[in-house]
Amino acid sequence: MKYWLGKLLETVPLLIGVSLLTFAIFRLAPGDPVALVVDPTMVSEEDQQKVREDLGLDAPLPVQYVTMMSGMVTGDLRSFKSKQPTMEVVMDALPVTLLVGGAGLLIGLVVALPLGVLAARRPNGWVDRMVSVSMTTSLAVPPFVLGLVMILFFSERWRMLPASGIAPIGTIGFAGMDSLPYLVMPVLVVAFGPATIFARYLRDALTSVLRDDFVRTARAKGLNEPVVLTRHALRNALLPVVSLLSSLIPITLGGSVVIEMLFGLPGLGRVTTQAALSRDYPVVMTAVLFVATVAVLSNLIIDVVYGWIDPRVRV
Amino acid sequence: MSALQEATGALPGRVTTRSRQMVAESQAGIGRRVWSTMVANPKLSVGGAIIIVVSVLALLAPWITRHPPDVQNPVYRLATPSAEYWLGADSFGRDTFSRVVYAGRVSLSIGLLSMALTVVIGVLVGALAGYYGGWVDRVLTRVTEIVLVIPTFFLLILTVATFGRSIPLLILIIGLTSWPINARVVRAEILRLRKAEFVTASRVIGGTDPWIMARHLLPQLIPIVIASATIRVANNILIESGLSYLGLGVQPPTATWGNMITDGAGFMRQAWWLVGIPGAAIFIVVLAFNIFGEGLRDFLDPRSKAGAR
Repeated sequence: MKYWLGKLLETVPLLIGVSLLTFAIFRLAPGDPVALVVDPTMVSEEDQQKVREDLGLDAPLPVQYVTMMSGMVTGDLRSFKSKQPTMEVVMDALPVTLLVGGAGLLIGLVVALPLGVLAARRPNGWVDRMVSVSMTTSLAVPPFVLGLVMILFFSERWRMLPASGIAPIGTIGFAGMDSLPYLVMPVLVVAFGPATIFARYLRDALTSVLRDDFVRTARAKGLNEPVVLTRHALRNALLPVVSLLSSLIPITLGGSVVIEMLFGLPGLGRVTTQAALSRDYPVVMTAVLFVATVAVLSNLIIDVVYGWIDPRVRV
Repeated sequence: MSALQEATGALPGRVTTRSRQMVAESQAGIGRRVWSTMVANPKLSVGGAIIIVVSVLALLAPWITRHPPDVQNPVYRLATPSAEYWLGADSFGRDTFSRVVYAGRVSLSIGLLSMALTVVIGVLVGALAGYYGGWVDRVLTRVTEIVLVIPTFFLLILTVATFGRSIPLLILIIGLTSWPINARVVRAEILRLRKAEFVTASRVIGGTDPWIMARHLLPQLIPIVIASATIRVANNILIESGLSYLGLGVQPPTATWGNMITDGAGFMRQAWWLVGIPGAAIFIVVLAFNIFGEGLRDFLDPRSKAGAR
């Protein structure tokens, strides 16, 4: 219990640090920060003053920071375009991002599991070579190029899958099963990189575990190979894969930006990019803070899972 | 004095011939060693060869292209590859070959310069944290974690939205956001070396902290830093292409592989090569830097290869 509590408390300074960093970037901007939000040549001095007050920009820095942070929570901080509270904008966009990212990572893991096991069972066999080569290769494919190639074939040529959006025309937002075809390509693009990285890590971990004494003991006891593999070896080999997950989550969340823009998905990445392109600064800031919080919290969950798989780390 | 000189009079000559011989031998040795390394480590030679070819193409851009990259020739709009336009032309009638080569200059320089910044910050933060430990380590490790945990693209969008878009700024921003992994690697290595006997020995004879760091610790890190820096170039090129694809990176009409793909995406059905060629350029260059980095790591630290196999 004490272990979990400690982990939870560790995330607090991390989150404060993230918020301070985002605030610092905003305030480090050269010139009047109002110019980030509105175009000074287009907006009257009075309106600029109003923006300044809205953001609390005439107050001392620490007060500004607190005003901004609390504004995100209370909904006082609003989008400059839609006038919606920024937190609402972000919360509306979050499910799509989590769905696509989560499904992508999951499918990556599911694909990687058998590949990693097969590769480890026969080091230097053809599966092993393929796993090695495909990781190096997949790391060099930009997701938007992969996505465009998929669109070219699956949507343009063969007309199998819709190229863009989240639901058929006429429906608003997520439409249950009707949305499924819209998610196939984005999820596959997300899964592509992690699948090969997971497979490679699992293979490396499993080959070294399979050389361990306890595996030999288990085999010597006469346990059959599937039992040795799943009960003894895999359980230990999954640990590095779980810790790999904690560095892949921020990467996947970051990658969602490109994938959502490409496939026209109304997720956090697209909302943030569009806000940045239209100078809707409060939305950008809230989204960045929020996505970092999601990353921190998912890492917390991974730590918990890690402690559950391997009780040793809890000590 | 003179007696001593006389006594050893014949020596200088002999030393010279001998040292010349040694130099010659070691040069042949180096040549042979380089050759055998290249044969034994194809990753290093293939990756390196591709990097050299691509860099030479980018450097010679004005001399090997037939049309300036920004000149529009509507007659050749979406032209298929021909003798005049080797890789066809885009929707404005601009020469794709020329654009892809000039874009290479932009992408490679952004990748290399931002990597330099990444390495400087990463080494500095990692070395200070690892060497001093205590509160310095705690603070720096926290800062590293903070930058690491914010998904890169969101942090980049925030900084681009704040500071605007220009190539020098892009280099700065990519460099400033991509150092945490390098810092971690360096910190771990310094922690391992800090307790080594040669460090204690240097301290005993009066070596100061900066001296120990510069003279004894950092030189040991050179291999690992170079290998991770190479892979960093690949990553930073990918980041730049992603940002430019989103319209948040290098602005048109300056061509980069990322914004060429954005331009070409709308015409994919008629002219797939407008996406395919810059896409292939990114793939080849990133792959080359990655395998060169891997090869370098295997070469500098044979254990890593033994461990992976």
